[in-house]
Amino acid sequence: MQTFYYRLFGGRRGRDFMVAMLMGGPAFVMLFLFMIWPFVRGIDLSTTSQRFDGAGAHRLDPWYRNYDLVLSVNLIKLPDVPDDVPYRAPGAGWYRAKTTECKACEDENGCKVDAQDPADCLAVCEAVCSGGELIFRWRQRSLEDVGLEKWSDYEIARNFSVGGSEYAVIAKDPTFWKGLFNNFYFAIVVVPIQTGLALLLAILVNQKLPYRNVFRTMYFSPVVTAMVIIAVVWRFLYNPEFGLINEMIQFVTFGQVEGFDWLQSSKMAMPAVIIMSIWQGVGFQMIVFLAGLQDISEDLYEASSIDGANMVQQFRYITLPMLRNTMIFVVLTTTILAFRLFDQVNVMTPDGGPEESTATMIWYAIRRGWTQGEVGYASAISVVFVGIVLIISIIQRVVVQSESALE
Amino acid sequence: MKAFKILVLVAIVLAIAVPVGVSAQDKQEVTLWFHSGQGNERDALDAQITAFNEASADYVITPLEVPEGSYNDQVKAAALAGELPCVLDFDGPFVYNYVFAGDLIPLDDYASDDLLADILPSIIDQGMVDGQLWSLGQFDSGLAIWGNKAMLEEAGVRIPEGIEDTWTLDEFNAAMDALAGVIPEDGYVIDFKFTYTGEWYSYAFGPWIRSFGGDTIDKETMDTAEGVLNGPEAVAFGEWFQGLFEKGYATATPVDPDADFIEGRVPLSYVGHWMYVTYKEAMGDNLVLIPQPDFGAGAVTGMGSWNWSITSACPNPDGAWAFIEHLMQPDNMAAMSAAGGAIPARISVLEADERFAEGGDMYIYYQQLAEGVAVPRAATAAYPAIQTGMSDAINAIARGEDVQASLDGAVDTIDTLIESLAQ
Repeated sequence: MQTFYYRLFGGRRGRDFMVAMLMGGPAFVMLFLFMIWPFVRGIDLSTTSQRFDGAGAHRLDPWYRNYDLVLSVNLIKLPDVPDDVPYRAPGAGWYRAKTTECKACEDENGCKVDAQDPADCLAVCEAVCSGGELIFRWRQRSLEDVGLEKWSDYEIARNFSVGGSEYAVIAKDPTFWKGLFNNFYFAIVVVPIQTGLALLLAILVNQKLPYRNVFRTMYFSPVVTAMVIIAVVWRFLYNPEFGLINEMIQFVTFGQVEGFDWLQSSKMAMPAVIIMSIWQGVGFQMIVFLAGLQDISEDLYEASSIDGANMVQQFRYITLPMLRNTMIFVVLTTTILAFRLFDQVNVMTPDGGPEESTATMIWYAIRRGWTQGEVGYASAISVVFVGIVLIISIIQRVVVQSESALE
Repeated sequence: MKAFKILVLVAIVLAIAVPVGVSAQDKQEVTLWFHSGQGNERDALDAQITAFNEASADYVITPLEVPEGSYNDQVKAAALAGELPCVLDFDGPFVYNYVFAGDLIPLDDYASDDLLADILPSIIDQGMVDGQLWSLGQFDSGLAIWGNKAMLEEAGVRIPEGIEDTWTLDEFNAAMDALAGVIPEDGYVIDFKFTYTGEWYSYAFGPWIRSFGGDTIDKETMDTAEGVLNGPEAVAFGEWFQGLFEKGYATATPVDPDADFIEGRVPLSYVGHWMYVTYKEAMGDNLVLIPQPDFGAGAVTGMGSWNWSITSACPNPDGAWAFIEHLMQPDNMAAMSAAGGAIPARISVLEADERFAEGGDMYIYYQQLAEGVAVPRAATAAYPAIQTGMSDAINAIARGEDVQASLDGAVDTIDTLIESLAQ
């Protein structure tokens, strides 16, 4: 026994081991307390009906019930759009959303769309109203009417038409799938743009310009400002009536473009969040790239210019290859940060945005677990979320490794 | 040597920390949490706590102020962790949630009959679950429409005297059209406080849906919102409400609606009693209160406010009750009402206050509470989902999304939680 302890704590090796444990110890403890333990606990909770207030918590039967609710998804064909689409929503089925003009028509002509008014009055209204968006109403109790009763546990997450037929992605929990979609949308746009822009800015502030430290500070300052504060300020900037951004758009286009309903329309809400997030985050990646750029030896550039390489060639054959490791780091961290999207959407669109267009997985986990107190269900969402991010990181790693094998 | 130094250090720290802990034990400690709402009300409560601590021989109140925005969430978290204080204040409808979770003890054995007989029926209704009284509030809330008298007169809009001659839907619409003619260029007609988040939307617009003939949950079965919150009556409300935004009478993206009203850019402000003190200070006699309109199925308004309860984790509930009784003293109640504009919970206090007497600034609030215009929010443990569902739907409708689809979404949110509670 004594030799064991001697080996462990005595001798050169033992001392090294001790030092390593002392140095790494706090990090290991923190990792266990704040990463591993909560995750293991989360897996356990995700199989229960645990609520925040602690009432009536028990193991679910079957234990995977929450996962079934989160993950059940299917693609189905919706019934065809009838020739006469009603304006008043049926129990289940197609109807046409009334536009502003349509409602005005109703008022002026005094004919409600479902009223028994003279035919010509109705005809006028319908001609005006036909522009409204087509909506498929999906209510559990009426699905039988449209022959979809076997999907009664499901709801529509998103519908689209292909070649004249209408299809729908249906899920037991459509908000989760909308969140997943939004997360991917955000990541796919943000990661390349933010990385590219950061590289561009890094090269810019790496030039021997006068006052370059001023520029570096300017680009970096949003990173050190709290995201919540930035989000509050940008919500005002995006205000459709008084916001600075719309005012600027009007000014620059000489009033030709009215500006957008940024956070109030389902098409523009996510782009609004994306623009603001890139502006906020780009400084961090810029600093990382700047460090990488300053690591590249001047000799390489000098040698290549003697060989007659121009700026573009220098960038392509020296800067980019030398920044390879930096690039991998930046892309990996940006991807993970992109999937963690929460602060800005929660401040700018606390209800998940128009038609849940800015709902994200984390936002949804917090809404269910914290606001509505369904801890067990939120744990299931979080476990699935960790799984998805893990898979993406592994794929990125495999791709990076196979690339290096090629070179 | 090093170890000795550390020991000395630990001893010093203990020597400093321990006696402080002991000296507070002379009186029994009663912990208390309250939401940090308006500054005036907070100061009034602080003064009442200080007065209690000085007067009481047996108990000392240790208050903790928690930010209002996340107050209910923090209480839920504390309940799960078993860290609830002795005395707790919370917003009315959450009582069902806390009783359901077993966090509270009933007050029936503590409250005297004399006290209960003097309290507004709406306060008792709010605190009753399963035939027992679980909470008492110092005040009730008032919800109606604040108006700018000069602008209303300029537009020739009739100002109702009381709930008997309140506006009908047609009159409300006509008032909107008339007021649109007198507002300044950067103004709008009615402020709905779209800067608020969370509970406001179910508190303020649930009553309007009821006044149209719908509701936020099926009050008979309490197990679904289907057909009620997305039925034809609720849709009629939604389409009418959306129309106000489409015509530019209201805005879903106000920047500072309080200032808009005070500075005369908007003649009507739909908000509760908590704005009274601010509005009154700025506008004086130009401020009028317009009762809830009758949209067809009778006028309906919201009620309920912050309540005091004793938690089941409390080691000395007698001390907790002594403090709640102290809060319910007429003087303290009157001071609180003066600070925040709320409606005092005791009828004797209410009647002594000229602001609530006939012709007073807030007479209409009293009328609405006393004559059954005010109805409590849904008595269900699924209330948190009604709150989120309503907030989402009202915001979506104001943005111009399809009314039916928005209300269907709210029903799904509510019914999902009801199902999960039944699991």
